[in-house]
Amino acid sequence: MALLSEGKPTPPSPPKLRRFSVHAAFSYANEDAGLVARVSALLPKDIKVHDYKTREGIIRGAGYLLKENLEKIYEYEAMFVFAFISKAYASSDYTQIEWKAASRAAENKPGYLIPIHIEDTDMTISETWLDGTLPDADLAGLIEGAIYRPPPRPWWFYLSLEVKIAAAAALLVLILFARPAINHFLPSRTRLKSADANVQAIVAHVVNSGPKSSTLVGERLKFGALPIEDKELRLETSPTIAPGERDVKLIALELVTKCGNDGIRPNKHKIEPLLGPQPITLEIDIRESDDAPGKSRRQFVTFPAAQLKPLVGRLVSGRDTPCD
Amino acid sequence: MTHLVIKTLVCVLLAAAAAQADITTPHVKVLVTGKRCSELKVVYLVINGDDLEDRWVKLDPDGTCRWKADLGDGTISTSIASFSFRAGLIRSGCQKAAADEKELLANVEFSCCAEGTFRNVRVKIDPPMAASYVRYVQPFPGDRIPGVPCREAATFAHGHGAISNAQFEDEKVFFDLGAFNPKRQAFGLLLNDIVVDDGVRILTRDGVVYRLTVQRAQGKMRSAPSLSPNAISLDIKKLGDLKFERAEFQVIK
Repeated sequence: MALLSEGKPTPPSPPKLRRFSVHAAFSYANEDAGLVARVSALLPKDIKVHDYKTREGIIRGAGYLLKENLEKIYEYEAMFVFAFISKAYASSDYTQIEWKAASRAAENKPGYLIPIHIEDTDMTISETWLDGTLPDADLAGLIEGAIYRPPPRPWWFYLSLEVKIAAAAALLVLILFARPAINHFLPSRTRLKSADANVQAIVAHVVNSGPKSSTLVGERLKFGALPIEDKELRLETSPTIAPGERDVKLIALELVTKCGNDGIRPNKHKIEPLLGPQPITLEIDIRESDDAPGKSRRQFVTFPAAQLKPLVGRLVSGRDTPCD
Repeated sequence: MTHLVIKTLVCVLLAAAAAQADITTPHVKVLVTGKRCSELKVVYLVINGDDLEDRWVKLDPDGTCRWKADLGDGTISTSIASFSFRAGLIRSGCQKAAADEKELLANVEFSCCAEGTFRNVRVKIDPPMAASYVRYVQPFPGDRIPGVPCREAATFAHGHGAISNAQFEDEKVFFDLGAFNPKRQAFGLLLNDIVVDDGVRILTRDGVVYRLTVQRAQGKMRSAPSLSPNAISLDIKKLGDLKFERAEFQVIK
């Protein structure tokens, strides 16, 4: 046998079926069961068929609600549904459940529901169908062919290689040049994310989510009810905030306490114990790239006063000072 | 056109200099100008009007007519601190410090030395009780850098002490019973009119009341001039409550 096949082209092996629990779900009326059984028997063994009359079909539905189970199988579990269209099919309630379930799935999967026309009915079926009056072997061959046919290719599959390369190049150009062009029209958007303090400075965490740079035009610390006067801060780094996230170091060289009822500005030793969880506000004026000259937007962030203890220890006078 | 550019640049530079920030620092450098500055030997700094001699800060020499001090934990803020110096019998007017941001130090400049007579005035209260004085110091007219008016004060906890380096031409010295209270409205007894160079001036309770009455009449108190019996009664009552008997003021060298 091996010698006989030498020199002949090897027939292409059928594609492996994907892991569907059912490759062909047969939807038919009881009156057409004979035809279906004959055709089904002629199909290759690796094609898994759902036929409610077979042992597997009975097991698949046993114990479930009939309608829900039919909808599940014919809408979700099958690779293809073959509906044997006859007058009996059109008049049966159960076949109509199967038909509707398969039709719903076919809306998203073209070619999913394949009618096998046995006789004319009032049902509206697709323009293409298999002829149910063909000899059993021919019909079985058509069903097998439909199951093994390659899936439809997307439109771009049919484009030539040159067109694909041209499209890829165009996309690359778009990525390289269109982004700056788009960015030209988008402004900077800067947000004051958080702030903390150490013995040297206040550190503000600033995020610019836009494509352009913004500018910090004013920074101050507000102490609220604490007896320290609000203080304008100084930037230790560039005021320009490039796109992205960065830390901005703000410094002060002096903090002055507020006048007390006794006419004295208290020294740092009296202030430090007052610094607890109460919030200190860091206020920053930001000029975004689309702000008019001289205009800016104010952003706030708070942090606990306790964080300022080292800085207060360094910047508040160690001596009481008269207010006048 | 060139002149305009130069003017603009000069303005920008001046504005930058004026925008110099104030600092808090323990380091103070003192420069005394004037021909007699080299005569100054031991120099003390009075900071923020704290005039009690024990609180004066002794300066370390730092070159000709220059001194320095490291105040340690007793830092000062240049925007609010005021300074004057004491050396021998003389004193300066009050000055603000200029901040040196780079070196983080406060530079103070004084002129030496003001014309006029300087006196140390010994004070003694009988019976001993807390007393205080306040000096309202006007800018000294001869200062190279115009000074600032300031108030300097101290408390004699035990009723005796000395008011040092008083220069009655440019300052008014008020004396009061009780510890120094920065918020006190009334000035107290003006010593400028009382202290004499020869001998001891003793004021009894009646004498103090009389002096206060005269001060009120002359408008030297914060309150409006008044000779009302009520005001006099209040003075007598206060001094009586304190069991004040007499105060001695004597100029010492």
